[in-house]
Amino acid sequence: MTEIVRTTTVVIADDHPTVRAGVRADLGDPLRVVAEAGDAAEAIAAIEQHRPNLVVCDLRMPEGGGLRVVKEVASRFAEEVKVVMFTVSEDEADLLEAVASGAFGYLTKDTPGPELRRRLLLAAEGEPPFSPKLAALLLGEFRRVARKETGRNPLSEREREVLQQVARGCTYKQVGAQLFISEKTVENHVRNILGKLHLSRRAELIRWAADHGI
Amino acid sequence: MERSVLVGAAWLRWVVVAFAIAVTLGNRHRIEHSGVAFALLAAMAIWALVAHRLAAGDGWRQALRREAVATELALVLALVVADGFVLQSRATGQHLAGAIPIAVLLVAGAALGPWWAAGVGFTLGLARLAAATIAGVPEGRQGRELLASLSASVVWIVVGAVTGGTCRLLRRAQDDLAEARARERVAADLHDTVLQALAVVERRTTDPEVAKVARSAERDLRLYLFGDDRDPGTLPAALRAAAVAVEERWGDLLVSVTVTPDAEAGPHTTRAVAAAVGEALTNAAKHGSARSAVVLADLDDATNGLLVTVRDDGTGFDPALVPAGHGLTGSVHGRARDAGGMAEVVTALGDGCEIRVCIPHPANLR
Repeated sequence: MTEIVRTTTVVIADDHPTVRAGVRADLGDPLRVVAEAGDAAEAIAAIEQHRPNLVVCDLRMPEGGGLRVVKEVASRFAEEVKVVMFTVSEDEADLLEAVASGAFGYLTKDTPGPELRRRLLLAAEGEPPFSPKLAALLLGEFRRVARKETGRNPLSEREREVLQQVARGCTYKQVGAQLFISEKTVENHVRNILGKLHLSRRAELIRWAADHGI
Repeated sequence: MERSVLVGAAWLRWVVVAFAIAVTLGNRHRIEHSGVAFALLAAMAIWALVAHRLAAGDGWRQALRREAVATELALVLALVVADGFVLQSRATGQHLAGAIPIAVLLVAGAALGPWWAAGVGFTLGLARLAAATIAGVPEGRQGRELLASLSASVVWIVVGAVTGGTCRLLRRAQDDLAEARARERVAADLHDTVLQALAVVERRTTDPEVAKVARSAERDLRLYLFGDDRDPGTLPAALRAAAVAVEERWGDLLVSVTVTPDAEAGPHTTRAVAAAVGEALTNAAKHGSARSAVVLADLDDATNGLLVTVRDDGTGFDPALVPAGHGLTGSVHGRARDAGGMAEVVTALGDGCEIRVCIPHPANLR
């Protein structure tokens, strides 16, 4: 049986041409860059036009930043287009906001070229690229949510373990080996964790809106 | 800040000169050398005008020059000494120069600092004593006069020293603030340009030497912009500094440090934990040939304490072959114990190494 390698289309959104050129050079077949964008508005236009499989998106950009791109994509092309944040950002609040708004994954700009390529290929297959730093931020975030609300952790025991392992820098494979579950299960847990963050943030917003009579 | 002191001194000068003129006018019949007194007060009034214009104008820094302070000091000294012989009778208890020295003390404090200003106060005190001697204090009143001179001297010295000290503190705070602002501006500019460029170079290059240089430059810049001297001694800053130090020494290792917002520690614990992390990272680079390591500091759910883990992708080792008290076990355990905690090493040959430092109770997190 011949395996047909599906081409994955990618839009790169970053206000620095050097970064865009760097990412473009890292990708290569079967990741095909269909457009580059220098700000949020351009990125949204390019996504509308090309409907790419993946968007590699910086957080700090003119015209509303990566956050605007994520929100726009989440509301209009939710299942179709996956946005992966690619950033040097130190601003943890923005980062959580991006993921809570529906970013599919998050990678730091010091990710080596081959690793970036590998992570994006996996992302196209449905595995959220997830840096240890983000996992650690999520641990804190969920604990905060739990403390503020029911006093119950919104994460299951397993999910918390998975998050802890990823935060320590384990790959999904290593996490699976440690917890005696398959890599695929780890991946599912990660997706659920992201979904829960998305939901808890949304619940918070709805409550806030209700409290303020909006 | 110095400027407000100058303007304040200028207004004070007007008030006391006006007061002195009024007193002198009122007592002009009792004054022996009223001509000298009015001449001196006129000179003082002119100086008040000059100094006020200087302080209010663009060249206000001129008023802080030694020459300006010396001029005023000379005038005030003349007034204080004159005080002794122009007032014929001391029975009124009035002094020509009573509050006039305060202005020069304020200016001296702002311009020359606490020690010099205290010196100015001391000089004025000596002058007052000299004036009393020249005037020839009547028999039986010498004790009182001496006491009055002494207390005036003490007040002047204290005013000079306190003004100088306060100005110095305020100036330091102001400088710190200005530096912090400048740094923030630079940080905003550089963050998007130079840091990005360095990250790209680091990631794109195939030459390990170039990557090493870029990485070390990025770390330096990051440390300068966001690093520990802006927020000294916090847990994230201390851990980052420990990581940077090891990265610099062992160029092949890339360390990522994350501290969740729940992880807290006082200075003692921070120092011990940072030292333990430094040891663990050094070990990972030196013996494990690790290329990357992740440091995570988080709340330990089980004990409500602090849990710091260092995980590397190095060769790992067989813990059974390392005698207790040696290498990792010795160095990391020791540091953890310093902070009232313990350390655990999880490793196997060929499978990296994870070190967990747990400081169990919040009471230990000092």
